[in-house]
Amino acid sequence: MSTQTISVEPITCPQCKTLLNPVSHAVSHPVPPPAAHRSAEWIPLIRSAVQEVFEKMLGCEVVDRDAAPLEKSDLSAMVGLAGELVGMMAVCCDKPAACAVAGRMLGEEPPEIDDCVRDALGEVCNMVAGSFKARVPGLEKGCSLSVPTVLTGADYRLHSLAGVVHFAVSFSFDGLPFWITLDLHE
Amino acid sequence: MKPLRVLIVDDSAVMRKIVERTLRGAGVAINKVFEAGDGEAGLTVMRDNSIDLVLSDINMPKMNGLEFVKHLRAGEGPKVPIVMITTEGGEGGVLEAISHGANGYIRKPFTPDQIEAQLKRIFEATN
Repeated sequence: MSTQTISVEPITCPQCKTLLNPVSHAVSHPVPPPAAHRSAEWIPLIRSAVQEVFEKMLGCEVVDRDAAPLEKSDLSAMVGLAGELVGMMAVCCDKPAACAVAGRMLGEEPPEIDDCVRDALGEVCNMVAGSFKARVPGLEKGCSLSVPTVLTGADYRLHSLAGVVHFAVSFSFDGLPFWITLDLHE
Repeated sequence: MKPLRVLIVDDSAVMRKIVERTLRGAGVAINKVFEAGDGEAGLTVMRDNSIDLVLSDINMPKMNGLEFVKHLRAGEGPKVPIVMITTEGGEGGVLEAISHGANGYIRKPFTPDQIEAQLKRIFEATN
């Protein structure tokens, strides 16, 4: 009786690039792939969303930064995502950037953090989240956004819980840094 | 076209200002701008004033934009053009608002050109 040799090519996961057992792959990697594996796909979408919002609503361009994520900020505006994507998007920045955002939106820059500044940052976060959502195929219909919430004060830290994937992308406008963070439940 | 009496309904005061400024920047002739922070306040303005155009957010506390449109279209009186201004795209809430009688939508962020084009389309369709 003759024997037949079958060569098996190694299979690499398209998301994490690790070698996979083809049998268990379908079980360990359900569709859609885990959020952590989509960072390379989503970070450019976050950048495009931020650029669109700042160009259309603030009349300025943003510059990509490679800076490490901010651990503390004076303001954090947050919008929750629910549905096919569950998590939170936030815009974090210090007082000068927050006041400048309000100034660009209103035409007059508030000297201190006030309701207008909080309102403006919340709207920026809302629009970035909406623009990001619109860029992810299939997400437009299956994901809802909450109304924005704004935290003020430097004496707080946001902690991601287990099972949450954290993305942080840094930008600047008019020389002022700010961060967009996205925390997604796996 | 005569200068319009416009109602802007949005829980963000900043966004109400931006919508008004963008309308003026788009060359829309405005007689007076009324503002409301949610659907309930918007209905009160509509009851007490003659309005030619409504621009409303969807995602608001108390009464959201969908309920606002439903109440507005359920009432008697002239069918004022209603434009939804929202971060949501062409699905979900926007389609529901249109099914309840909204005439169109503009997605945030927007430019004066986008507002002008949408209003032109709506006024041509309603007149």
